[in-house]
Amino acid sequence: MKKKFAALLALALVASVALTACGGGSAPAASTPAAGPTGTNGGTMPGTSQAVGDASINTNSDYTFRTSDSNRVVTENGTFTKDNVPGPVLVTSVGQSADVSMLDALMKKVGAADYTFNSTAAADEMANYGTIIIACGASSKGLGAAGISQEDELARAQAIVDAVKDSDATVIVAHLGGASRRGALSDQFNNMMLPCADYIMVVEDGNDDGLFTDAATDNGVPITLIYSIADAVTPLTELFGA
Amino acid sequence: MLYIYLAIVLFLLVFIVWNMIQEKNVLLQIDAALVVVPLVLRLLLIK
Amino acid sequence: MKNNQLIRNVAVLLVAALICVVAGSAFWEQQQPDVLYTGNPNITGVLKLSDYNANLKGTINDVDIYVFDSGVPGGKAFIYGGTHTNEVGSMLNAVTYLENAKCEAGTIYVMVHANNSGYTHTQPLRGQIGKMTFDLPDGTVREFHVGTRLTNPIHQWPDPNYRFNPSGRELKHDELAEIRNLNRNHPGVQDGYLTEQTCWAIYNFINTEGIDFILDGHEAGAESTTLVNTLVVHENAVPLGSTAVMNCVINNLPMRLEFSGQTSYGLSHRGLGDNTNALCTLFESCNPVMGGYHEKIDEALFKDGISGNYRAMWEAGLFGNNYEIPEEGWPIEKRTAYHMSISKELINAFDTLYPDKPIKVSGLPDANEMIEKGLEYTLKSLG
Repeated sequence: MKKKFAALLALALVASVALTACGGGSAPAASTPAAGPTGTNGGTMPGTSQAVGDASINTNSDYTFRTSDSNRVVTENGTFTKDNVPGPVLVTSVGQSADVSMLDALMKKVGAADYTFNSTAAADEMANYGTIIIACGASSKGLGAAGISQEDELARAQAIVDAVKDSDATVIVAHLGGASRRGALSDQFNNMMLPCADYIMVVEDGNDDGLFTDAATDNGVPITLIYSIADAVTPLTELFGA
Repeated sequence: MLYIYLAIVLFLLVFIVWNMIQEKNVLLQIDAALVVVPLVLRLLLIK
Repeated sequence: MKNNQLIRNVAVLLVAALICVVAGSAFWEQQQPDVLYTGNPNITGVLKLSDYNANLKGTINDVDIYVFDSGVPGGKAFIYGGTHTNEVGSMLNAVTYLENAKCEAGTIYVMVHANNSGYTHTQPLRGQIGKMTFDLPDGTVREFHVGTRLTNPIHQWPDPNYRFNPSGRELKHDELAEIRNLNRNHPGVQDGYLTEQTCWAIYNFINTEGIDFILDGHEAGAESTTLVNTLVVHENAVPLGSTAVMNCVINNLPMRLEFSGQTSYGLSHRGLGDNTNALCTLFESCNPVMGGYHEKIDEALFKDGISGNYRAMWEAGLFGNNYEIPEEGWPIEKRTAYHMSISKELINAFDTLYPDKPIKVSGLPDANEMIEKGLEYTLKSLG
């Protein structure tokens, strides 16, 4: 009796496992592979109560947000005008995040003429340009798409720093990815590029530790804080608009 | 391959039903009947 | 005694049969196809997926592809949903196009149920509802089945012990069920498993019709912080995607751009992007059903997108500052509006970037109105 019962239970277990195993699977929740980059250009949610400017999501209690839904573009530490951006203009990236593509789209949006877009421009090309806009932000997928390793990109960034630091070129450092684009690797690139910036543009929620504003203060360069990436249209129009 | 697996299901089903018929304890018969349900549904390709 | 045994045997068998019938009827109902509104006068043709892979003929995945041919030569867009059948925002975006779109230049192709088999079942042990309904103002009801992300095993069984198909993805161990995931098998195999055949049909359709760009619609759980409200693009589609996302952001839609991973084998943006000339994009909206921390998966969760668990997790800062999980949740009309907006902007961006291949669409509902009034007001009545 016990043997029959045990056999029946075992059979039931086999049948259940066979059918439920075939009926499902370890289907992951996301539709792309789990290994992901440090994030994308996280623009803030417009018109939301928890957007940038709300202290409850400020990770650094010492930092006071300047921008808000009603005050979307704030420039500090002086002014930066069209006169400061001689041509020709290069738009490039360090870190190969998608932010450089967004910057390219922004430049097209404002009708910027005669600029070169090359996300992997080499250091020796810097001498050809009067203004170099560098979109800072790391993305493992971007590096993969560009076919560059992290080490090579870091070396390239350092070579760019060496090329521009003693040149007359105007260097604009743009961090448009927001908080989601900050991370260990991104900050390596940020820390390399900020000392040679003549002007900084940053989506403010990526500055909640004051990294960019402190760099602007320390180096005596103007900085424009924007509420969301779309607000970059305003300073870019002033600088490069048709 | 599908038909091989359906044949396996049928094979299991036949033995479980046979076991169920031979079983004198009604609780164990019900136990077997529970097992029969998913096998029938899979044999008919309903679930 | 023998009579007693016989009676008992018959009784137990009858009870088993009754359970089979009752349970089976629920599963059978799940397998019935949705009725779609196809009365849009701007539909100029209907293709079958089996036109591009004869092996699909007569199978559950031989679905319709609706053609909106403007008559003006130009670009060709392919917008589809239903790759993962519980990611309802993408499917409802395709439905919105089906019911409303008018192509003014170029051609738009719309497919509503990319993996039709997925609609015929739900994932075991997940306790998910099988359909959702919308009560329209005229008193009629629209129903849409909701399934799971994989092909139904009654349509594709058994799973192999190992699979390495042209996608480049190696399926083994606990990934074996992915042989039934449409978005892990692109570009597919013509005479492979049903899911691979479906992928191959899509690949062949894109090549045969000369599709210029595709949008594959999806939804992701809130913990997928790199995916929510993100347009994932193959490197060939970066200018298109960045222009579309920028236009959305300027219109106050918090979209983001991300590159397709070089090792995202089998996913549409990688598998089709590498193997066709189409510019391949994929968009994910936020659906709490898709994550691992939601409450009971009932119709309200699908439609209202309100999850106390996710709200609490967001308030605790677990998702960073990538997006908000508002108290009002991520309702289906908002998610559908996001899919509709990004697809419209992709069409606009393509039209701008490739003026020799014009493509324009009109007739779609206003996104703000869709969000405000709900899909009950934008879905067409079946009469």
